[in-house]
Amino acid sequence: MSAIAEARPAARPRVGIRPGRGSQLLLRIYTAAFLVFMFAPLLLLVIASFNDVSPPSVTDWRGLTGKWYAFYWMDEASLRADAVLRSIDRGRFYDCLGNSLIVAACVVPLSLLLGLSGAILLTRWQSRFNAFLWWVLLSPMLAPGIVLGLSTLVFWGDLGMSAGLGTIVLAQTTFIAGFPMLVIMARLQRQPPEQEEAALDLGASPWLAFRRITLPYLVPALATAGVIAFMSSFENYNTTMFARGGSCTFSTEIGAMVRNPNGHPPVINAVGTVIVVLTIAAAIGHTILLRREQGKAVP
Amino acid sequence: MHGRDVVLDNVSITYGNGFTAVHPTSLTIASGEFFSILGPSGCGKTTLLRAISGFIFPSTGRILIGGEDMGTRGPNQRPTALIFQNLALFPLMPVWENVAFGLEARGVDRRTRQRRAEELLELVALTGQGHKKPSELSGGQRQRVAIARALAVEPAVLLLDEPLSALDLKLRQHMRAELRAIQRKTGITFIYITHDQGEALTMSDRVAVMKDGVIEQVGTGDEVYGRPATPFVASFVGETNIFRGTVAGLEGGMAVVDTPLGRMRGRSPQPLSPGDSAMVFVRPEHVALANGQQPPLANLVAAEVERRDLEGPFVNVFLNAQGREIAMHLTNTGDAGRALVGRHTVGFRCEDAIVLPSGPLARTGRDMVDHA
Amino acid sequence: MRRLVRTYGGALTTVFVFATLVWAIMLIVLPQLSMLDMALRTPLRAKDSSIAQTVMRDAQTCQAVLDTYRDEVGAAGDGGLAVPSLSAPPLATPSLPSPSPGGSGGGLPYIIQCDRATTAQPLVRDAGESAWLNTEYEIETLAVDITADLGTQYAQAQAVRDAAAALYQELVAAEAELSPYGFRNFVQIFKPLVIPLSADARAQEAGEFGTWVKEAIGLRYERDGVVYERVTLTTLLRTILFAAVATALALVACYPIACNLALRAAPHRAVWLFVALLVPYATVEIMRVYAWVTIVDNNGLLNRLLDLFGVVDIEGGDFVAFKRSPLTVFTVIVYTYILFMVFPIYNVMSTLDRNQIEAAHDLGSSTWRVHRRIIIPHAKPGIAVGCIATFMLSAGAFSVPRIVSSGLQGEWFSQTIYNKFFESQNTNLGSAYAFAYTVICFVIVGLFMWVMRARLKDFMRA
Repeated sequence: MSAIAEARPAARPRVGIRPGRGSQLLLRIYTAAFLVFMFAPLLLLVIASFNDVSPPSVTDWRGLTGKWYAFYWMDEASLRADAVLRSIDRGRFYDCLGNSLIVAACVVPLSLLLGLSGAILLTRWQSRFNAFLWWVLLSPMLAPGIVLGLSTLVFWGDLGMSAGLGTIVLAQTTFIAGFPMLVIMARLQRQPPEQEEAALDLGASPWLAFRRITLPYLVPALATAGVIAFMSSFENYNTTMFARGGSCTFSTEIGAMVRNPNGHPPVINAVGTVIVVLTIAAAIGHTILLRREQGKAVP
Repeated sequence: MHGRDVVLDNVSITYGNGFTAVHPTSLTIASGEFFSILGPSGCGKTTLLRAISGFIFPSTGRILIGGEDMGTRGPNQRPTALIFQNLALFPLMPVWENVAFGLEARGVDRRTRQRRAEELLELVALTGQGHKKPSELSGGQRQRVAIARALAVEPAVLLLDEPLSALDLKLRQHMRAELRAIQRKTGITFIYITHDQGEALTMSDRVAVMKDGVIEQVGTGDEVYGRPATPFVASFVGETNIFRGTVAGLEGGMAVVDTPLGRMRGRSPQPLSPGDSAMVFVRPEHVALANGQQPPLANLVAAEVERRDLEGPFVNVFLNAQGREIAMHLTNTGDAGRALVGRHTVGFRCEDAIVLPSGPLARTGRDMVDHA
Repeated sequence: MRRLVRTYGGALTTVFVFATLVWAIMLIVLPQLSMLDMALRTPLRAKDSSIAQTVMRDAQTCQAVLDTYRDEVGAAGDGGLAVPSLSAPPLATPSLPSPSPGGSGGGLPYIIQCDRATTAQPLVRDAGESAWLNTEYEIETLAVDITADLGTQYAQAQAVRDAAAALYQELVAAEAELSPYGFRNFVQIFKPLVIPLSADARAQEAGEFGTWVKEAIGLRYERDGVVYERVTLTTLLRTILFAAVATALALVACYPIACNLALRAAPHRAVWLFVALLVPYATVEIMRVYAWVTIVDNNGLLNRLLDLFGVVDIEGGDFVAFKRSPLTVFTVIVYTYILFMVFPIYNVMSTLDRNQIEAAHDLGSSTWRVHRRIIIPHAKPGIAVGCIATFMLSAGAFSVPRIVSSGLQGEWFSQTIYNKFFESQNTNLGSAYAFAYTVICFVIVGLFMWVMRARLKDFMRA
C-alpha cells in the first residue's frame, strides 16, 4: 500500500510541462531585444537631427539645435548665411515633394477604381478564369519594383509617352491597385448577397442599389485602402527610380541627397523625425480608434 | 392594396450542372390567398420562390402574375416583394429609411417617404422606432421592419421565405397571428415557405406539399391532413402510424390489406389492385383501446404498452405489437394512460385509415441520425 | 457575367470590366511583353549592319577632315614627306593642324576616323566567338594608310566608304528579312569577362573560400594564365542567395515574435506590442534605410565607437569601410524588410484558438511538439506568405544597396540592371536581365509554394 502511495508522485510524466516562467522570461527578453533592434536606428536618426554637426552624428555632440528643422521655412538670407545649408537646393526638394503629392493624388483614386473593379469582378463573377485573373492582377505586387518601372517605361515609351510623372503614376498604380483589391475583396465577401437582392426586389435600379447599399458598406475598406495606397505611393523608391526619366519625387530626392559625395546634412534627419513622429501618432491613433470600436477601454 | 393571382404554367428549373431543382409544375394561386409551400430542406421551395421573385428564370414554362407573363423581367420590375430568411435589412440605414427604400427607388420625395414610413411602422406596431438602426432592435421587431419595408412598395404578391424560423416559440406564435391579420387586412396574395407544418396548417388557406422538386399535393389544411394523396404527404404532415402490407382485395371504397399485424381495412382514394404493395396510414389520435365500443372497432391489434410521453394537454402512448411501434394520442383527462400497462388490444375505424400505394416516406429523426 | 449585369446594371458592369481589363492588359501584360520584346532584340549598335554603317561614316568623316586640310595644305602639294613616322601619337590633335615637318605621317595630324576606316572591323559576337566584317562577309580588306599622302588617303577612304556602304545596304536588307529576335541578350548573363589580376592578387584570391565555390560551380576559371569570371551570373546568384538567407533569418527571428504577439502576450500588452511593431513597419522605407547610413558611414556611429576603443583612427584616415561590405547591405536589407515576415504569420496565428494549445499541454505535449504539430501547421499559410514577401523584397532590393553603398558595390543584381539600362543605355540588355531575373524569382517562389502546398486562399487570409 505505502509503496503505491510513494510511487505515485514520481510516476507523473516529466514531459508535458507547461511553458514555465523560464521560457516566458526568455521570450520577453528576446522580444525586447528585437524591439530595441528595430527602434535603435530610428532613435539615432531622431537624435542626430538635433545635433549641430554635419554630417549627422550622435557621438560627436556639438550642441542642441533646431536649425535642421528651421531650414525648411528659413528665409533666403539666413539660408545663405549658413555654410552647410546654403549648399542644399531647397527649392528642388520642395518641387520633388510636390511631385510626390501630385503622383499620390493620381495614384490613389486610380488604384481605388481599379482595385474596386477587380474586387467586384473576382467576388461576384463565377468563372474558370477567376484564379488566372487573380494571379495576373496580383503578380505586380510580387514582382520586383524595378521590373515594373522598367517595363512601364519601355511600353509607354513605345507608345510615345516620355518618361516623367505620367509614367511614374502608371508604374506605381500597376502594383498599388492590388492592395485596395485585397482589402475590398475581404469586405465584399462578407456582404450577404441578400442585401443587394433585397434592394433590387424593392424596385431599386442596379445603380441605386450600388450607390445606397454596396458602396456605403465598402466605405471602411475604401478608406483603409486609400491610406495604404497613399503611403505606398509616397514612399516608393524602386519602381519610381526606374520609371521617372528626369523627374524626381520625395523618395528619389532623399536618395539623391544621401548619395551626394559632398555629404548629407541632417536636414534629412529632420524630415525623417517628422515622419517617424507622424507614423507613431497614426499607429497609436488607429489602435485607439479600433479599440474604441470594439468597446474596450484603452489601458 | 389588392393581391393578384399567380399562375405557374409548366414551370421547371434546372441548373447549369444538370440538377433539376423543380420538375415541371403547374399551379394556380388565387389572388388574396394565403398560400403555403411546405416541404423538407432542399425540396426546391426556395428555388420556386426565387423564380417567382425574378432572381432565377425558369428553364421551361411561364410565370404569370395577374395574367401577365413575367418573362425575363428582373426582381425590380415585378409586382412582388420578398422577405428573406435572414431579413436582409440594410444595417447602415435607420429603420425608417429601410422601410422607405422602395419609395426612394420610385423617386418619391423625402417628406412623403418619411410620412409613409411612419404609417407603415404604425401598422406593424413599431411606432416611434424609425430613427433606430436595425441592430438596435430585437428579432421580432426586425421581422416587422422587414414586413413594413415590403408592404411599402404595395406589392401584389408578398413572398416569405421561412421568415419565422429564427424566432423562439412564443414569438413565432404571435407573429403567425400578426401575419395572418396583415394579410387579411391588405388582401395581398401571400406565398409562404416553411418546413414547419404546424405553421403551414394554421396560417394558410391552401398548402402545397413539396418533395424533391415535385409538388405532391395541393389543398386546404383539412384536405392535406385528412386526405393525403401520397405516402410522403401522409407521413410528412402530422404524425402517423404506418402499416405495410399487400392488398388482398377491394370492397366498395375500401381496401383490404394483409399486414404482419393482421388484416386491415381502410379508405382507398387511389386505384389499387390485389397484390399491390400498400401502406395503411392511421393518425395516432384515431387509435383507441378496444373496450367494447359500439359499433365495435375494426382493425384490432394486440400490443404491449412500452412507454407513455406526457405533452401537457396530451399523452402519447407507444405500444409494441410484434416488434412494430404503434402510437396512440390521447387527451389528458387526468389519469388517462397512467393506468395503461401490459397487454391491450387497440384498434381504429376503417374510415379513419387511408390505404395508399407504397412510396417514399418523409424522413424521421432517426433516419436523419442514421444517414446524416 | 449575366449575374453581374443584373446586380450592378449594364453601365456599372462595363466600367468594372473595362477598368479590370485596362489594368490587366495595359498595365501588366503588355508592358511585360514589350520588355520581353526589347529583351529579345539585339541592340542596334551590336548589329552587323550598324558596324558597317559606322565604318562608312568613319570613312566619310575621314574624307571631310582631309578636305579641310586640303584647302590648307593645298599649296604645299601632296605633302609627301620622306620619313613616315611609325609611331603615331595615340591622341588625336583636336585643333587645326599646323603643317610641321616634325609631325606624323605625311605632314598630316592624326585623324582617328581615317585610322578606324577599315573593313577589318570586329563584330559583336557572343563570348568565345569572334568574327570580322571583312572575313565574315567576304569583302576586300581595305584600309586607309595614315602614313600616305592626302590624295592617297582620300582615295583609300573612298574605297572603304563605297565598300562599307554597299555592305551596309546588303546587311540592312538581309536583316529585315530575318527575325529580329534572338536570345543573345539572355546569353550575355553567362558571359565570362577577363579579370585582370596581378600575380599577387591572384595568389591571394586563390586561397579564398568564395573563389573556391565559384570555381566549383563553373563561374570562374583560368585559361592560358588568364582568369575569367562570369560576373553577371555571379552577381545574380549571389543576390538570390543573399535574399534566401535574409528570408530564412527573418523567419527564424520573427516566428517567436509572432507567437508572442498572437498567443502568449496578455491582451493589453499585445496591443502595445502590435503598435510597436507597426511603427517601424509603416515608416517610410527610405528613412529605414537612411537611418543605417549614419551608423555605417565612414565616420558614423560604428566607426566612432571603434575609434573610441582605439581599434581605428578616424582622424588618421583609418576606418572600417562598412559601406563597402556586402554584409552591411545585407544587414540593412534584413532590417528594412524583416517586419514583412511578422504580420502575415501573426494574422494567421491569431485565428488559432488558444484553447487548442492548452488542451495539448494538458494532454502531455512538450512545447516543441505543440509547435511542431499544432502551431506551425496552422500558421503555414502565413509563413508561406511572409517568406514570399520577404524574399521578393530582398531579391528586388534596390534602394538599400544604392543608398547605403552609393552604388559602389557590384554585388547586387538590381544595381546591374540599373547600370545596364540607364548608364550604359543598353535597354535591350537591361530588359533581358530584368525579365530573366523576374522569371527566376517567380520560379523560386512557385517551387516554394508547391513545397509548402500553399494555395490562393492562403494569400487572402494573411
